[in-house]
Amino acid sequence: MLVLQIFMVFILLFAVPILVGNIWVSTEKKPARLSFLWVSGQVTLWAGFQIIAVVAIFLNKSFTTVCSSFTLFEVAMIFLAMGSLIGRRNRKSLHKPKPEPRQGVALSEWLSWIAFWSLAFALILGRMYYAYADGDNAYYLAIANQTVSSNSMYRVSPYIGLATGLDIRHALAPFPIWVAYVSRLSGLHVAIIGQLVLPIVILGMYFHLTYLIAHTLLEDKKNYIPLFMLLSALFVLFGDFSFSSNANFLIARTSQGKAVLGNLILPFLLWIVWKMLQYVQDKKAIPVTYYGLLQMVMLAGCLCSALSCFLLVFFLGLVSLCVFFMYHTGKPILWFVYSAIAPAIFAGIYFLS
Amino acid sequence: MNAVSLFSEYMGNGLLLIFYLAATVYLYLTETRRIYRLVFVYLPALILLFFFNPLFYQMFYQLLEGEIYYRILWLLPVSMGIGFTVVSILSRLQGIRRGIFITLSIVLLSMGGSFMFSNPFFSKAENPYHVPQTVVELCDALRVEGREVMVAMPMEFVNYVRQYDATICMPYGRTADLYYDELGYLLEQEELEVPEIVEKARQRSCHYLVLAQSKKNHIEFLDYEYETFLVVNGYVVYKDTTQYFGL
Repeated sequence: MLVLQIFMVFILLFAVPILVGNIWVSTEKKPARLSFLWVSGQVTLWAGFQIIAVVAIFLNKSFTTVCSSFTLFEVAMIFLAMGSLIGRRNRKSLHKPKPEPRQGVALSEWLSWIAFWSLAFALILGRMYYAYADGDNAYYLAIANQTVSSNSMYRVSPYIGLATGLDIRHALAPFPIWVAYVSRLSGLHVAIIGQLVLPIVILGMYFHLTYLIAHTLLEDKKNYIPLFMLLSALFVLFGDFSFSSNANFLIARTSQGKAVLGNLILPFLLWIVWKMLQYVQDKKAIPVTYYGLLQMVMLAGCLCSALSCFLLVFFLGLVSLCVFFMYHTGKPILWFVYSAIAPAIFAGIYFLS
Repeated sequence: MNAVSLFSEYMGNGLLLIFYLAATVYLYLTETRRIYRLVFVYLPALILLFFFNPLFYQMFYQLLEGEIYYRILWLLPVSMGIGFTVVSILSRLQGIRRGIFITLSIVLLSMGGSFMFSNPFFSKAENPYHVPQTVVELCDALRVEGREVMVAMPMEFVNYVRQYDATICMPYGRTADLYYDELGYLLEQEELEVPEIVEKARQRSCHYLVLAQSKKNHIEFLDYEYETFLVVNGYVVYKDTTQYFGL
């Protein structure tokens, strides 16, 4: 039974996102492709979940409706990704690119990789071995647990279990419902998903995203990527300089949407903006897939925290300001404005209700 | 709290802030590529400009929550900026200087922060659920298949009970301290005022009361149609026999 449950978790949190990531793969070339697939695929699934779950919550539908609708969405995304994969393979067979020459790896790089992997494993194991007494879990994990056992969403107080009015602020960012979904489909208890499974998945994804960013930042210094990764792991391990640091959220409050917002969504948004600006700088047209991915990351952010509606739009606003003065162009800004529409709608619901 | 105190609280001992500022100044002086300047210099400068702007703070405070204002600082690419600067400097060094620089960077980075698992809120997990084992044992014993039960739990457990079992309801929860709850307050006293507790507990349909064995007078519950249901790890559970337990 346990083997089956672990297998289901693997399918839901690794295999499906990696497969779905193929929808966007034309935006990213070979290096760090697995990292790109996993992160972009999961972000796409979170974006879909945000829309499905919020609509269902406001229409007072059951949790089972969310589960079946989202599973259908996942299947549709898998088909779309497979279509994209087949199409690309056909094109590839016509124009087979030359493989990049392999270069030797220096001893210092090997040592950095070993040190990085040791730290990353220590972090994941430490997070599983130690329990963190965080009062917020009394809300987030309890609401996920409540959802699984009562089949209703945000209509019962997670603290005491009695019926209550719809908690609109939290209902607009239903990350705990996604945790409940993983629990329902895998058959593992919500607390086990939150305290043992998500630390592996979120920390793993965090380091994959860091690797993806390292490939972009250190384009001309690729041999320093292992060192960059090592420094990032150190930054997390010694990141408890404050209770509000994103590293603290990443390790101590891994199962909460806020941790995902600060450690996956914001860095991924920065990475997308960076890639788009590379096209602006080279005076080339930005591939439409980047705009799609930008839209996905904005929606996924809204799933994680109601604050995202403001934070992500604020960030894009500042980027737009910089782009306008540095590149004297308004084209990407229009797309930034377009991608801010969905968070603006969620913010509107929040303020009007 | 204002923006300055939130900022200083966020930056901890301040060492990391010094490294980050030094890294930003270094990149401002040496980095010529526009994207790098935008992401590592201009964007953080703009974020901080807004963050410390009292008008912006006021607006944020009114629209959202002042407590979470610090999350704007999550937009600063601190680890990315420091990591990239270390690599940039290192790539310009030769020989023994490289070794010294990288060792120094790692030591300073470790000193600038604090070891994650030395945080006092971390403790060895007692089970895969990361809730106290006593909570697991209590919930397993009190659960009634097919229905919910109302249990008054000690304050030290209220945060964990419903993470483990959502069919256990409680008359008060995490916010009991914030919004005064009379029953919660009475049950927290060392010397229990049993008649009052019984009255309040019955008003709120509590099936069970869970109390630390060390509390005084709890034996008096037996005079009010309660029975000792269970004793777990220093906690005694009283069952109210006047309550309905059927489906």
